[in-house]
Amino acid sequence: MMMNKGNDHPDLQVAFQQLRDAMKDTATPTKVEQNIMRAFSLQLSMQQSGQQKSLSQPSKAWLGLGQWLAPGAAIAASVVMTAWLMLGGAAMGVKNATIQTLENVADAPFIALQSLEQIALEPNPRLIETTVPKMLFASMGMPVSPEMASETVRAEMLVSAAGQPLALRLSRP
Amino acid sequence: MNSMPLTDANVDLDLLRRMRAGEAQALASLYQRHQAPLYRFALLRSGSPDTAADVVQDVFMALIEGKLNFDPLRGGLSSFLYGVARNFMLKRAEGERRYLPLQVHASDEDDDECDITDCAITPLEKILMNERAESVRAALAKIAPHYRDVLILYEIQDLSYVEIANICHIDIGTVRSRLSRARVKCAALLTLMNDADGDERLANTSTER
Repeated sequence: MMMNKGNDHPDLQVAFQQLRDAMKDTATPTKVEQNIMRAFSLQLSMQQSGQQKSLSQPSKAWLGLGQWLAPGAAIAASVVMTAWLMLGGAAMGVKNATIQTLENVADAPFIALQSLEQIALEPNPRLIETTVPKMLFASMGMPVSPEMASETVRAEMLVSAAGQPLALRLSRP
Repeated sequence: MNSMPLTDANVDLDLLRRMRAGEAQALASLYQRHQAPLYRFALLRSGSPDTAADVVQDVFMALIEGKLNFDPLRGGLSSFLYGVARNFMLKRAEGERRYLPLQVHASDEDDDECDITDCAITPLEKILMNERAESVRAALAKIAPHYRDVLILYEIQDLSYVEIANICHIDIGTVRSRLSRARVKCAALLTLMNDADGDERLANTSTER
């Protein structure tokens, strides 16, 4: 059907109609659609992987936190271990230690003696009850009276399967 | 209860929403709805099938990458995509013009000269087999781009003055005036070309004799 858009140039209208007819089946080459659909799929998969990445970021953030804490924990551990050795780690009295399972641990805070990552990765940690000199806690910044520094206190120590100290806390009286 | 049929605009909006939600079929539908008119516009405006294909691809790539700010309150998606395609072609033309330092730039409304670069574009013999249609295409290619835009969009793409005004970022009065002048130019060119063909045929006949 011929469109009649203007009467000023009737020949022109005929010519335009012929051009419209000639081009009515003209369409974009199929490769363009393929390119677009491929790009869309790629973008979609990237978005999905991006979402997965963002979902996994909390654990990464936690690992990042561990990395920040690790040096501090390592320093604290070295201080503790040094003090422990200087004061005679044998006072720990492993012979008298009572081995407990980790599930029985009370909610009192532990002082990390190794990096958090190393503690978390330990496959088979154990909790042992022992006695340690109060001086040991003083070296970790806890208030200890000088007169009582030589006394011992009961403590719970998290150790690795190989017996390496991982963390320490005071036992409940 | 009868469901209300979706208008074209609503169909486009629904497809856009689904495409943004990651539905590939929605993008395919959008593409099928708009690619051909966009391609024809780009083809007639640029005179190059390769450029036209690139422009259509650029438009849809920009759409899926979320680079376009389509506002349904300002018009339909079809008009919007025409405008985007036109902008891409203007940018291309601008880039090509940088390599033609001696090109004369005429003023927007007083440009009565044909676009020299577009006169050199290869004819679309493979697409336009009809001789008369090819003459019109050739005439369109010879008029200045701002006249060519309105003429193609109105006469070939069958858009309204309002749509053309939105696409070309001009007011409706300018659309009317450009369209009027474009028709005069196109008619004059067609007459000139027909006369030239007649003279050429006459010359060939004389030579044969």
